[in-house]
Amino acid sequence: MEPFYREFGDLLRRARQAKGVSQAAIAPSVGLSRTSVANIERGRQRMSIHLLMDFARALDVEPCTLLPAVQIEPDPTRTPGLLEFSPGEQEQFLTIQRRARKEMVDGEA
Amino acid sequence: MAKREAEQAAAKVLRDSGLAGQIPTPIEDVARSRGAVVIRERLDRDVSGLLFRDDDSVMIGVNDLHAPRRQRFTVAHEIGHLVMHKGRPLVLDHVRINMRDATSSTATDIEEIQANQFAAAILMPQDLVIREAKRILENDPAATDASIVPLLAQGFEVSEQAMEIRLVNLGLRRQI
Repeated sequence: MEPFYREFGDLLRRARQAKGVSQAAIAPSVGLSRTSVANIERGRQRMSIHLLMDFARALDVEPCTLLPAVQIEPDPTRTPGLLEFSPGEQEQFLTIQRRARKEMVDGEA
Repeated sequence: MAKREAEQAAAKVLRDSGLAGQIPTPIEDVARSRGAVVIRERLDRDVSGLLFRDDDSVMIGVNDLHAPRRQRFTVAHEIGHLVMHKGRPLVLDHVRINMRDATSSTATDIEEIQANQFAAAILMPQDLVIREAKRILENDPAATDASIVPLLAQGFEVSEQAMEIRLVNLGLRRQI
C-alpha cells in the first residue's frame, strides 16, 4: 500500500483518539463497519474522497487536518541559477531548502 | 560611498524591524522581519552560509559547525545580500582565509565587502557602540583601548576581531 494511506490512517487514528471516540462508535456515522475503519487506520484500505468529509464531520475537524503534508522534494532544474553551482554546492542549497520547507510545514501545523 | 550605503541599509533594516536599540542585536528576529527562515545545519566546513530566495520564500542557511558569534555574523551578512543585492537569487558564502580588502574589484568581491559592512553595521550600530564604550570607560577608568575590545565583543556577541575592525572603521581606535 502507498505511504499516503498509512500516513492518512495515522492522522485519522490520532484525531479519533484525541476526541475519545472508539472505532466502533465512529463506524456507523461514516457508513462503514468497524473492521473497515480499522483497516483504513492501518493504511490497508483505499477509500473514496467523500469519506474524508464524512470522517471530518464525524470528528468535528477540518478535512485538511486529516491529510498528510505534501513533501515537495526540491528540484534543482526548477531553481534558476542553481545549476551554475558545482554538484557539491548544489547539495548545500538543497539541504537547507529541504529543512526550511519542513520547518514551514511544521510551523503551520 | 558603498560603505555609507551599507550603513544606511543596516540602519533602515533595524528601524523597519522595530528591533533597533537592543544589545546584542536579535539578528534572527531581524531576519524573520524580512520574511526569511533561518536554518542551522551542518554544511561543508568551508561554507559559512547561504541565501536562497524564490518567488514565495527566503531561506538563510548557516553552518552550525562554526562558532555561535561567527554564525550571527553570517546571518547578518546574508541579510545584507538579501536587502542590497536583489539580482542574486542564490548566494553561497565561503569562509575566506584572506579577508577581501577594499582593493578587490570584481562585482562579487564588492558585494561581499558590502555584505560584511552591512553585517558589522547591524550587529554593532555606531551609536550603541559609542554609548557602550563610554559606559565601560566611565565605570572603569583603568580600561584601555585594548581592554574594552573583549568587553564590547561580549556585549554585542561578535568576535573580538569583528569588534576590533569596527572600532577602527568608526575611528574609535587607531589602526594597528
